[in-house]
Amino acid sequence: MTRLAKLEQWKGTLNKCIRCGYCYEHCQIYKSSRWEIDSPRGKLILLYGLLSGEVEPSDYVANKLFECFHCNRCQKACSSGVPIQEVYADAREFFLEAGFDVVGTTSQTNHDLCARCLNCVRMCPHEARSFIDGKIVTDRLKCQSCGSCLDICSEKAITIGRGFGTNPDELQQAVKSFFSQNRNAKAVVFSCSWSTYPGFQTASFGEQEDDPEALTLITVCSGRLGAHTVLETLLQGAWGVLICCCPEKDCEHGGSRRAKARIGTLLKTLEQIGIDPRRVQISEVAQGNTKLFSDTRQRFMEEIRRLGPLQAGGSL
Amino acid sequence: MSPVKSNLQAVLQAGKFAVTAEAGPPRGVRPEVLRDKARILKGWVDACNVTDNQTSVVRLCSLAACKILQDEGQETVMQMVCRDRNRIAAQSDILGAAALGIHNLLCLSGDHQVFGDHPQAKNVFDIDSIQLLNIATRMRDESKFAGGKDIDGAPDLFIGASANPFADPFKIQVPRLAKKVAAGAQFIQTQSIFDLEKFKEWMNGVRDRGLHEQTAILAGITPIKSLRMAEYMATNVAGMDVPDAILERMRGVDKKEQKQEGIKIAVETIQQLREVEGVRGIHIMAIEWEEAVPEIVQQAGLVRG
Amino acid sequence: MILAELKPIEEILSYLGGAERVLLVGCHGCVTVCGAGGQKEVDLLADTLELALKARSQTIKIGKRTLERQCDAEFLTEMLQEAKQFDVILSLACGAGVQLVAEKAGSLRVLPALNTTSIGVAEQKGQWGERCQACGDCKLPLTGGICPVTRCSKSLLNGPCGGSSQGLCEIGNGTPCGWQLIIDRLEATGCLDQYETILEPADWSSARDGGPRKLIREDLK
Repeated sequence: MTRLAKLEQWKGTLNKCIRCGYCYEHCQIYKSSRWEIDSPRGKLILLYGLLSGEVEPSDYVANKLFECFHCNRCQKACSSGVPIQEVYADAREFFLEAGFDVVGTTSQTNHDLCARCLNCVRMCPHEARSFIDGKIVTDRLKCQSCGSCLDICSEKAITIGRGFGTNPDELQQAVKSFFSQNRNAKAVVFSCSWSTYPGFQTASFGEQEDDPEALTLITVCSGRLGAHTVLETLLQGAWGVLICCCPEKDCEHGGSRRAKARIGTLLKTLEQIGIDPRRVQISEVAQGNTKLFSDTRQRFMEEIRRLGPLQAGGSL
Repeated sequence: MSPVKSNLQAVLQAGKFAVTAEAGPPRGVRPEVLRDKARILKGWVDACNVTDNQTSVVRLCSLAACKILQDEGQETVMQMVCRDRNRIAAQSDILGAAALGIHNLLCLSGDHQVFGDHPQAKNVFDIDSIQLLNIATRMRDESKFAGGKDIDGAPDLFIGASANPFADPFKIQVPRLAKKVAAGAQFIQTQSIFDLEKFKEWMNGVRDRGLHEQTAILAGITPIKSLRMAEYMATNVAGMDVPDAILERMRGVDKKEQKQEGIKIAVETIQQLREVEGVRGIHIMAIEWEEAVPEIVQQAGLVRG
Repeated sequence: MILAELKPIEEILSYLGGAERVLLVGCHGCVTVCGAGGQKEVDLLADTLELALKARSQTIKIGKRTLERQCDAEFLTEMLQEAKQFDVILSLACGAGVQLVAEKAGSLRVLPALNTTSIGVAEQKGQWGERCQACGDCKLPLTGGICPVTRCSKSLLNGPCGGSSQGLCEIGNGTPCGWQLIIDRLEATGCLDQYETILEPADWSSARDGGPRKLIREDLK
């Protein structure tokens, strides 16, 4: 076996990349950091450097390859037909076998906090978590960084190494700044990356990004959005919260189903505490259905404006 | 052998084909309702079963209802379920029944309270039907309470149990009958029989073990009042098998004639059951339709006397 | 483990009355494992209460803590110190934990946030089922390792009743017939002949019926 194992076979394929950059338009990771090295193109160049000997394998490079939400949109957008995910897969295997310290966007468990309840092991849609030698261990090749395990954990022992804006604390921070900086801030749209992101990006990205009334945040899979984040958003002053998720049959992570169950429970709670359940809505938007995303968002905003602020003495 | 106090027991011991029927007590305080039922059934049956808060719906108590019926000259079988009474209450009621001249006791587990009008109730199930059979038998034969102390006197009882050949798992239904016989069941009243083939299969197993000689099996008959009732029993009652052929037959007749068709099916079933070796009688459960009993008995050629 | 689930929020609010300072106390024990009373649930309940009070234009001071276990007094000490600044302790422990906190909390009101439902096991992801009623006289050797007291809806020691149909109990909700399970298990282990042994009435004096039970170990004193 040669120096970079299975990775060697991709040398010719990597030559096919013409650096057009269509891939990074679709990459959640790049959209968040805006660094070339976080884009698929940047990662392919890194691998190219590895194969040519200009780049040395390192923890840094290894981690870059594991920073991925597995949406596969880069590969679909590639004008040269580079099988990006297959290349990544071999690179990841190489780095793990070579013993590099890798976290990337895979889910990690704090063993001191972990109660060994095994709920994350059972529910992981990719069978990436197991109980070995007294600890919960993530199979970093299987983990698709969907984050389904995050909100499952009662001990808050599970984290995603780097969230690129999608981790619960990052979402909550973004909500906080939005409401403190916008006098007209009214709502937050948490949207599943798979279903809404392409539409979000190609249709009316600018308009929605600059909307002073509603902040749109990408959650990767809707299944990772905790009820806690929704409640925090209402407490920050939101009049309402919209969650957009894939149709259940499309969600590869079982996340839509779980999100709906979780929001369903939350709605019952809201009703019991006297808050109009129309303030929190969850809606299915299929991948690429830009118009539906836009219409859903618009209808929701109209309803929220009618309901008015969630405040004492006012309409609840 | 000293003469038995139970008419039902005497009939069976004489080798006659026994007929019992069920009478549900009212959901109220009026004894006339029971007296009316006694008038309908009297002379047509050897004994009349009085249900004990059947389907967990509160009704006038079985013990009092038995007394009212017996005062009208109708012998009764007091049903007793384990759902509502612990071993203290059960034995106390048995003593009471014996003192009032009630000499037939049917020991049952009882439907779960979830079916009734008080699903919030706590169920007792201190003992189960087999243990109740054991306790009652010991009270009669050894004059002992379950706790071991002596009874002043002994209740003179003919003790029975139920059997459901249509419940699952089927393979355990003969061994289960054997347990009930071993626990003291002198007679058995079965679940309503619509699926004769399955019943016969069960009886084959019963005869293989000679259980039909150790206990008197009374086959359960429920006349179907309407197509709706048949469909309800087929789909909503656990442990009741209503074959499609019966449903088809009910569908095939005009609504007005469904009652008559139901009686006809019941009579035909009885005639076939009489051919089954080991069946010593029938038990008619005409739910809130006691008027059907005389007709069935007459048509089946089972007139008493 | 002990299984529990959150009470409806309106019930919790009705018990809290006008309390303005509430200390939420989770437990890292069983209720964390079944996702009812761990840190995450403490956070969630805190936010829910805050939002509920905000909706009623009231303010509330909420404290949060999650203890190693609430059923051991040693783990309560620090929390009880902090609790002096609160009007009410809202415990997310099982009934046992809540009661020990109440015993130790002096004049402070202690309320439960959970309903304790049973002693059970994880049956599959997101589903737990009851397995033990703590009757104090384990009958599992006689019934193939499946408890008739718990798994049979009527606790029949000599089941099944006539309501067993296609493996299911007459009470519905897809509840398996406990006796079907027992018979299957007896058969699988070659012990079906045990079925015909009549089990005597249970001695419930070792169960709750005999009064609150104690466990005493002289060797641990």
